[in-house]
Formats: sequence, structure tokens, C-alpha cells
Amino acid sequence: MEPDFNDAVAVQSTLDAARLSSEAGTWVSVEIPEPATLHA
Amino acid sequence: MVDDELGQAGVARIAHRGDSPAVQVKADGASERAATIARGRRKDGEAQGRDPRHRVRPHGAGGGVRAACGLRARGHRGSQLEKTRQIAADLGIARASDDWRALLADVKPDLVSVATPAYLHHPMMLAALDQGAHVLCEKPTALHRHQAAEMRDRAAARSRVAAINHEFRLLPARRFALERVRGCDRHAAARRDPGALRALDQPQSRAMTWLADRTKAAASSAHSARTTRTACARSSASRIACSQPCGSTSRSAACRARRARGARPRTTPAPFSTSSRTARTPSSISMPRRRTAGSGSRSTGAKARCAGTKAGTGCGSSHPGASPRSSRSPSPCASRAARASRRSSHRSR
Repeated sequence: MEPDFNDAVAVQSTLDAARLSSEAGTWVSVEIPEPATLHA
Repeated sequence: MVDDELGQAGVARIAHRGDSPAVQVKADGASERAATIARGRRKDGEAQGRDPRHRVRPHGAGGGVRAACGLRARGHRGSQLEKTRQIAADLGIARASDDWRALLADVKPDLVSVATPAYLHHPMMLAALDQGAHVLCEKPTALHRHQAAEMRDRAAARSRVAAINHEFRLLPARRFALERVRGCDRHAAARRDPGALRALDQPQSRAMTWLADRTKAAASSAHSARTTRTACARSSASRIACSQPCGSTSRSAACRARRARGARPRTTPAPFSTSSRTARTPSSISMPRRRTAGSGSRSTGAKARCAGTKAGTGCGSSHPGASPRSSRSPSPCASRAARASRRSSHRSR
């Protein structure tokens, strides 16, 4: 794991999924937002 | 050059990532906290990382982030103005304020260290990036993944270095868990290799030794190791599930007893909507639900008596894997009885 924001977003997405799973009482999938496409 | 600059602070680790070396240094010994200083280059090619008089402005008045390493702190922001001024005076920082927006506009720093409560990470980092500063952000990254993604995308759009201070990312236990997850070795820890998780509690390096020792690391570090083990188990089983009624991450006997009594999971306000575009509703999830109250005679400590899946198929004993009547999965003895019945009917034909 690197100290950059690509991994930070993945970690945050995992935390969100854990929170959602705790509230819903079910298994959930971890969905990581894709990087936005930069327009020149 | 970098080593010379960091000589007085004590270098803990240096890692280069392309044109933007991320330098991790040890903060002063009194606080025993590490600060990561991310250095980058401007678009015009000016070598920002080689100027020992960088203007640094840490957010947060806790005093934990006191990065010396040849950088010059130009401003310090904290929620308590008097305490912030005192810390700034101790560190020789000229500006101290409790208004981070005004301080950001006044100082115009090259690097901003955000060490504030999580809800402030998003607005502070975006404002710093918009002003052209590189940012070192403390964990947790943000309140939810959409904020984190916006922070990542804004840093990329501004061509600034954005670094995050993941805790214990080099800890053997966490690296072990990460390798397990990345290796797609799902179910191994939970089924084929139950001893693998126990290995997390067996330190194999000096760095791990005191962290795994509750008497030396207090509850926080021991809890981190336990949380890592639990997360590893859940990730390896290709699921994330945590609905302990007590809110604990460990499935203690008391917690299981509360679940058996039918206690509802503790609910906490969610910072994000469960109906957001990427969240999946429970009805759309095809994974099996976990056991609920009523079927947990095992949870209370009593041995389950096999009842089978149909009337008369259970043996009534408490053999391993015995399922109560409410369970959906057939017990081993019920399966054996079904197979024997099929064999006998086949022979008769």
C-alpha cells in the first residue's frame, strides 16, 4: 500500500462498504470510484 | 540533498515515486509521531523539493505534526487560538490563527499538512490544492469515498502531490493481510488455512513485538492488530460483514450472547446515503444472509442437536456440524441419510 490517493480512495471505499454492511446486515461489494477523466 | 535536509530530524524512510519523491520522516521524539512530507515539482520545472526554506503550514493544533526536516513552517492553524499561538511560539512559527481559510490566503504555502478531524480534510485539502499547494493529509482520508475521490481527482487536475498518512502500512500483520487479499487467496484463511490468521498474533519482527504486546502497546495498538486480523478474515472470505450488536469488531462470547437474545445491531448515522448511485440495496444483493437471533443455540454455549432438514432425518445427536431445525443447510447426518435413501431406491430399480 502506497501513501498516495489511489490507495486512499480504495481504503475509504472499503470503510464505506463495511459501514454499509453493518447497517444493512448483509454482505456488500466494495465499489471504488474511478478516476475522473481529465479534459485538456 | 534530501539526506542533508533531513539529517536533523532523523530519517525513518525515504521512498521515491517518479518525479515526486515522498519523504517520510520521524517527528520530534516528544510526540513520537511520524510526519510524511511530500515534495513535488512545479509545472515550470522549478525544483521545489530542493529549497530548504519551503513554506509549510500544518493544520491542527495538537502539536503532533512538527516536521522540521529543513522546511520552514510559516503558519499554524488550530481550533483553540491560545493553544495554537503557544505551539506556534514554541516552534518558531510566525503566524497562528484559528481561521484556516484566512491563513491559507495569507501565507500561500507550498505544502499544507492537514491533521484535523476527518470532516475537515475534504474542504481543507481542496482549498489548498486550488491555491497550488501540495498536501499531506492524515487518515482517515475523508467522510466517504466520494469525497476521497474528489480529493484525488483535484490533486491530479492541479498536478499537485497528494499524500496520505496510512498508519502501520509497513506492519508485518497488515502486509500479510494485504498479500492475502491481493493474492485472491479467498476462503483460505477462513477454511483451508485457519492457522494463517493466528500467525498475525505471532510477531516475527521487533517492530511487531511491542505492538502485539498489550501491556506495552495499550489498547489502541492491540486493537489495531485484532482489527487487522478480523478484516483479513472478512476480506479473505470475500465479504465484509460487521453487525455486532455491541459495536465491537471481535466476536466475543458476550457479543454472541447478545445476538442470541435478539439484540439489534447498533445503528450509527451514516455520512452517506445508502441509496447513492453506487450503493447496493440489500434486496439486490444475492449473497446469503448471516444467521440471526433464534437460530443461535450455538451462540449461547449449548450444543446444537441435529434436527435434519426434514422430519425424521435428524439423528438428534450433537455431532460437529449439527444444525438446528431452523437452519437452511443440511446437516452431515441428514445428507448421509439422503444419500443412503437414494442408493437404496437405485438398487431397488
